[in-house]
Amino acid sequence: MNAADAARGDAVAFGQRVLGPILAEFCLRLWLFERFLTPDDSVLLFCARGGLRLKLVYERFLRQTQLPQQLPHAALMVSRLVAARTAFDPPSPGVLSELGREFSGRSMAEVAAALAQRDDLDLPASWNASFRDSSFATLLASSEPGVARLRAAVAEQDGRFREHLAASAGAARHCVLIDTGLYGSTVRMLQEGIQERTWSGLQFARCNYKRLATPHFKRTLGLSIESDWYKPWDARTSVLRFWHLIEACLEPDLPSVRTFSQATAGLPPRANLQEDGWEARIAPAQPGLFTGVLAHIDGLRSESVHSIPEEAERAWQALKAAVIWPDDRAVEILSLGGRSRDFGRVELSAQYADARPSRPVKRIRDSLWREGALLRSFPRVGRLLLPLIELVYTGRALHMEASTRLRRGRDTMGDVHV
Amino acid sequence: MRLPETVARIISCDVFDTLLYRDHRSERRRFLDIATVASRLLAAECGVERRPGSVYAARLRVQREAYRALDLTNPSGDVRFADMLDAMTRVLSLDHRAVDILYRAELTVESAQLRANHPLMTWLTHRAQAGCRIIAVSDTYHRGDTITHLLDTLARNHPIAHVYTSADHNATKRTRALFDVVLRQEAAGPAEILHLGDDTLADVTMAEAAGLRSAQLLRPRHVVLRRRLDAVRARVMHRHWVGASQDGHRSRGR
Repeated sequence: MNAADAARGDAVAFGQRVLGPILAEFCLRLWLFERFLTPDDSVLLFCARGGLRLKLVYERFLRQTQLPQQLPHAALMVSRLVAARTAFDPPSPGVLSELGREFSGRSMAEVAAALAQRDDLDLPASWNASFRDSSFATLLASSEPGVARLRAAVAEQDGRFREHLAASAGAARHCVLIDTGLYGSTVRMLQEGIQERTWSGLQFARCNYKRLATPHFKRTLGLSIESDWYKPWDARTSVLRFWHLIEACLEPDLPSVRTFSQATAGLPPRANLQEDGWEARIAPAQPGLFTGVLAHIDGLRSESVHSIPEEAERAWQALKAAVIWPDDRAVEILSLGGRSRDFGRVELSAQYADARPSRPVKRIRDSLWREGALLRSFPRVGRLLLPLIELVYTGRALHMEASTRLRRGRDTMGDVHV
Repeated sequence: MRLPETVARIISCDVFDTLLYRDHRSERRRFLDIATVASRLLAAECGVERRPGSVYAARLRVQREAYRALDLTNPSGDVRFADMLDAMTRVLSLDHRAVDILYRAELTVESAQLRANHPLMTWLTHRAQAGCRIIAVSDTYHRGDTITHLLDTLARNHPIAHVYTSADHNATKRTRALFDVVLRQEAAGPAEILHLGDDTLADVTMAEAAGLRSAQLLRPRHVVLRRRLDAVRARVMHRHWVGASQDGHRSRGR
């Protein structure tokens, strides 16, 4: 066995021992939720891309545990880009805040190109200014030919998505989106854009890491984690320190949904993701974290359902140990490659930022997993610095908790006086 | 307790902490007590070992997800206890016999920890003798039959002629939907009903929003305070209560 095979074997074992029980617990909680939703009116829509693997895991979970399916399930080809198009003209508050964050410092022409997925819009020069939500809404209202082309391109794609949605959701008025998380931008924008249906989100984790408004959080729940920051005293929140691990495990090797082709021969429009053989690519081609997860799920039985919460509790502790206090082996297993930036763009964010010997601290800070980056940069002394990082995060978490409680207290006092 | 002079044709009463007093124990503590009884019954009648901590954790999880799902789909409705029991038996890998055991454990603990509000019962009995119709209106996941059973057990010869529960009618007092059901089924005008209860939103604000007259009957402060302290204690002990089952599970594996 060579080193690559050994590393893959370790990843499978980590998936089976740690991520498998955690996802089994997620599935159990999702089943409980499904059990109490209204059967005639609701549909579970598993969102591309992470949701597609969640669907695979959940359906195997139901098969193995013999827990009855209550609601129809379907895959929904959606992304933040697709959701933004539904509330684009005029742009809703959710769309503007999402665009403002995603395209901060970039031009409005880039935003337009991403939304239309076209580079031949020939927009006026004013679109080359940096994105500002008020300017964007004003520019979009003009009658310039380039702007008309943009609106038409977005409307055409949005129309095709709505046809796809009608085929997936059928007559159900309540669409429950199942996805990995965190902020739930897709739920927020679909709520604003498609108001003839009711939208809810059931995510693996819910976290307002963007520090944006959260009007959709009443209907967007994190079944395994609900926290806006890492709390050292809560092992579950350790996954927020290395969210890329969940995405890397659950996102199949398929492109993000950007466009839909025209409907043909009575079939609904197909997304760019639905290329030949796409369904087979949801399951992994080679051993890794996700094959370990599936192996754990395949080992479940109806008589073992009662032990799922206890196994998950141990798995969360193991996950925290691997993420917050990693050893060399954990760093090797959990070095997972780049992460797609998405929103109509194709570039990747690296798990570990570029090596620049002169600025190692920046490299660690800019990495998707700081503890792993620390150990890679300083294999010997890095371990001694891990308690320091934990101490900083503990202080930060206590400060955030205290400020939140104070703010809540002030809000309550304000309500009383009003 | 000051009860109002009334000429109402119908007197409607909340059940928990109005007709039947709960003691100082918090909801979590009560769930642990129920889990302890259920665990014993499961072992004795089915030969199945489920630690109280596991049953308690399952109850909390099932109830939490049930009500979160309800909030998303039908915030005016309520969850039915039978559905929670069905979910609990599956989560605990138990067979259909467990449904009855879990139900009996619930009733055993409720009967032990509830007591009748005798001054109110006496007053209601006099009102009934004077020709008033007395009904109970409760926001609860229990069916009316269960509430009637508890009333029969704890307050013999009670004057309650009919029980309306949010679970039976999928309508809660907290959005006034259950009061609308009561008005319809009793064929009464709002001014004909006086509603008594302890909860400010459900029993006063929403009753009045439906046009009923209302009177709030509050528990003494020391009971409220003791219950709050018990809730804090239960939160502190939560991990220990749940964890006890995990330790047990691990030791069985050795």
